[in-house]
Order: sequence, then structure tokens, then C-alpha cells
Amino acid sequence: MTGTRRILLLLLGGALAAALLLPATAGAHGIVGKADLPIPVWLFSWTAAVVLVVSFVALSTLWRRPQLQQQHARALFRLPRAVDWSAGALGLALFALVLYSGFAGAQISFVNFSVTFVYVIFWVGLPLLSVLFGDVFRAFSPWRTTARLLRAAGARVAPRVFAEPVLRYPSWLGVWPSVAGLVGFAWLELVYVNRDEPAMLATLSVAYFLVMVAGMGLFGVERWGERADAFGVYFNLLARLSALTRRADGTVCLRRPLSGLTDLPVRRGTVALLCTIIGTTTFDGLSNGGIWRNNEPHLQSLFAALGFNQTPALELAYSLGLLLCIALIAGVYRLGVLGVHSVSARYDTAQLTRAFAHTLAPIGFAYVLAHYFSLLLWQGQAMGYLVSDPLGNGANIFGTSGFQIDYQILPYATIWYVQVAALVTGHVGGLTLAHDRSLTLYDDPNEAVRSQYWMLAVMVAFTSFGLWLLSAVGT
Amino acid sequence: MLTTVLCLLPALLLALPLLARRYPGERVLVSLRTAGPQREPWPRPRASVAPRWRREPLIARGGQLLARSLAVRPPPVRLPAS
Repeated sequence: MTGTRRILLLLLGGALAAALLLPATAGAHGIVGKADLPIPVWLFSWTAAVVLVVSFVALSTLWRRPQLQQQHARALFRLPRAVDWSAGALGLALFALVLYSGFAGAQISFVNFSVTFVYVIFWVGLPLLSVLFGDVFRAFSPWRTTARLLRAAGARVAPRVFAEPVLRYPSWLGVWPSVAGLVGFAWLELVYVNRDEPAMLATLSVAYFLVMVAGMGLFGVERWGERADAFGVYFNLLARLSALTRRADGTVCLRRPLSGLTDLPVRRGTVALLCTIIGTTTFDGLSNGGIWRNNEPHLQSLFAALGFNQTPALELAYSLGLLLCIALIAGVYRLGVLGVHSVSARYDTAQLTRAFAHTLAPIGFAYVLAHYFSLLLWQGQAMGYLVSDPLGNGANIFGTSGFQIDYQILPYATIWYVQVAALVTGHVGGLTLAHDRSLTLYDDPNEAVRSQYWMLAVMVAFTSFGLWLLSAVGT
Repeated sequence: MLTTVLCLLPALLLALPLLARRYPGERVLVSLRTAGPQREPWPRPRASVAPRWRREPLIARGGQLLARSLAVRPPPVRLPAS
């Protein structure tokens, strides 16, 4: 190892140690919340930027060949087909429980199984499971299982009719239906005033289920699932970060983390999907902060002046905020791509937009984990009593209905450090992917390095913005 | 307000020189990258007999996938040696 390389490795180690030392110092002061941290929040932003810059330097000098563009998967074990169908049956059973509790249970959000399951376990827990264990949702998806069952049954009755999908999925549609689905779900969660009504949630779940089964029946289970099932596409995207993957024959393989993203099919709407994931989380953070709370009434008044009642005016103001946040994320990414394009005219902006799109995936997960970690940690515990009393009518099926949420399970400061670590790690992951891709795009080292300056700027911008959003929550 | 500005300042500080088409430390990075021993790949043992068949990848992945999607025209068809 040369002296220069040793210095760079020391620098990288020093930066990481500094990042890890900050929590230790803070924890020593017995901190109970991020507002009471012994060091100002902006210092976290600066430390994160330093970690990213050092990572950039280390990548530029030490990572000389593409390492992630080919998947070196090592077979671990083979899952029997029975596991697949068992997971599908379990997914269907859980879906049925969501519907039953939604329609028949008490119409109070915190005592009804459906609300916590959909907004916490499904929406926040599954992304984490996907990153840890791969595309688990594919196996549990109730609509995929139903469509496969219907197709298998149909193939027995009329093999010719069910041999091929009835319709061909239009390529121009890409993953835009998934983008619409994710924006719709985010709108439901963040904007719609009656979002906590269990019956409404169950009704929407039935509607989504029917649309998915119909789409899979008409266009093919996998083709539709990989393009138009918003949740299927979303969880599959996050599962590509995982070190675990599953081949078509059921063999579970170990691969380099992040390498699954390099062969992400960038279809029409994929970049919009990634920006939507980050943008919706951004809006969730922003809408809980002081800036939005101070300015939202003006926006609401504007819509009220246009003739809307109070509730629609509120929903329109929030809808506008949601769309603006998605546009903001898309704008920052676009600026980064334009910067990369300014380095070399070899590729046009459309090609570069597609080429670096996958680098947004770790950022999306980082935003989701950082933002919803406390929700998962606290509200996830509610499943302890909800499984015993899913309808909220006083039942005690498993004897755990008296279970209570422990809000002291982790100190507030620890939660904050987990959030910071998630954000920084996610952005270093994005930077690594961008660097690896640049090595395949540019032969000239100057061009490769220059292009990554722009991606570094994008990553630092997203990190600083993410930390600021987190720090502003509840102010 | 001051916290907001200070939080977002690193991104601005990084973006400003880039907007002015300045890449601070670029030369050092490139020289570090090109300096040092260039490792040669391990010599591959020559096969004593020619392989009877060669498995071509059915699906382009990774770099190949990217190269194919970016290619203006596809590579020429390889003709069998006569």
C-alpha cells in the first residue's frame, strides 16, 4: 500500500470515527431530544458533508474499476415452492384481517388493526424488511397470489385462453401507473383529512386489490406487477439494495449490497418514481415543521378565496405542497444531471438521467428510514395489543390486549443518531453507485472525476436538506 | 432562520465553485488516481483444449446493459471463422 493511499484510508477512517464520536459525546450528556443536543443541529449537517466529501475522495482515488456493475451472486440455499405458497396464503390472511377489522371493527384509528397495519407495518416496516431480506413483498402480495391462483385455475379449465395475457402492456406507459399509485397513497396518508377511518382504508384496499387482480389478469401477472403495482414496484426497488436475492428457481443468493440496483430497468417513469419516494417523505417532514405551519394558512386562504370550503382548501394546500416537494427533488436531480452533462457532451441529458437514476434509490430508503424510524419503533409496538384485539372491541385472543407501548425503548438522542446515520449511509451508498457507474461511462479520468463532483453536490444537498427537515420536525 | 442557512450551507459552498466551472482538488484527485502501481490482472491459465462451446449471456446485465442501451448502433454481428 502506498503512502498516499494510507493517508486517504486514514482520512476516511478519521471521518467515520468523527461521525461515530458525535453520538457518544451527545449521549454522555444525557440528552432526551434532538432539540436539546449539546451541539447545534447544523454541525451534524457539516459533519455529514465532510463524511461525503471524504468518501468522494476515497472513491475517486481507490475505487478504480467498476465493482457493482456485474452481479456476483453466491447461491446459499433453495427455498421450496411450498414456502412461496405459504407466504402467499399468509399475505392473503393478513389482507383479509385488514378488511375485516376495517369494516367490522371499532372506527377508532388507534384501536383498529387495519390502520396501524397499513400505515406502520406495511408502509414503513416492509421497506426495512425488503432491504434486509430482499423482495419479500413479492411472496406475500395478496393480489399477486390471487391472480396466480386464478390464472392456474383458468389454465386448467381453458388452457388456450390462459396461455398468453389477453392484452399487451403498452411500453409507453412504463411505470407511470406505479407513480400515480404512490402519489395517491402519499396523498391519502399526508393530505386526506379522513385518512384514519378504518372503513375508508378497507374500501380503498378492496378497490386497489380489484384493480391489481384485473390488471394482472389482462396484462400478465409479472408484467403488470413489475410496472403497474405501485407497492410491488416500490418494494422491489428497495429490495435491490439488499445483499440477498432470489433467483427464479427459488435459490436464495448472496450478492454485493447495492449491486442489484445497477441492472434496475429504467423504464418510462422510473426517475419520477424515485423522486416521488423522496419527495413524499420530504413533504411529510416539511409539513410537520414550522415553515410549513406558518405559511400553509396563507395558501389555504388563497384556495378559500377561490371559493373552496375549509376542508377542500386545506387539502388543496397540502396537495400543492406535496407536488412541490416532488418537483423540488426532481429539480435538484435535474440540476445534478445538467452539471454532469456540462463535463462532457458524450451523453445527452436523457441518457445521463437514466444512467444515474438508480443512485436515488439508497437516498429514498435513507429518507424513509430516517423519517419513519421513530414511528416504526413506537407505533409498531401497538401490534402487541392489536393482534389480540384487532377489532378494538375488548377481545383478548392471545392474552396480550393489555400490552402498552414503551416510549422509552430507545432514548430520543439515540433515535436522532440512527436517523443521521441512516441519512449519511444512504447518501454514501448513492455516491458509491454514481462513482461506479461513471467508471463505465467515461474512459477519461478527468471526465469521470468531474462528473462525480456534481453527483457529490447532489448528495450533499439531499443530506443537508434531509437533516434540516428532521431537525425542523415539531418546531 | 440562521440554523436553516447553516444547515444548507455545505451544499451551497460545494455548488458555487461548480457553477463557476471550478473543480477544487481535481488535479490532485486525478494524479492520485493515476499514480501508484497499476495492477495487472492475474494471468489466466491457458486451457489445454479449446472449449467445445461457449455460453453467451442471454440477458445483458450491468455494464453491458448500459452500453447496449446507450449504443447508437448495435455492435457488428460476429461472423464465424472460416
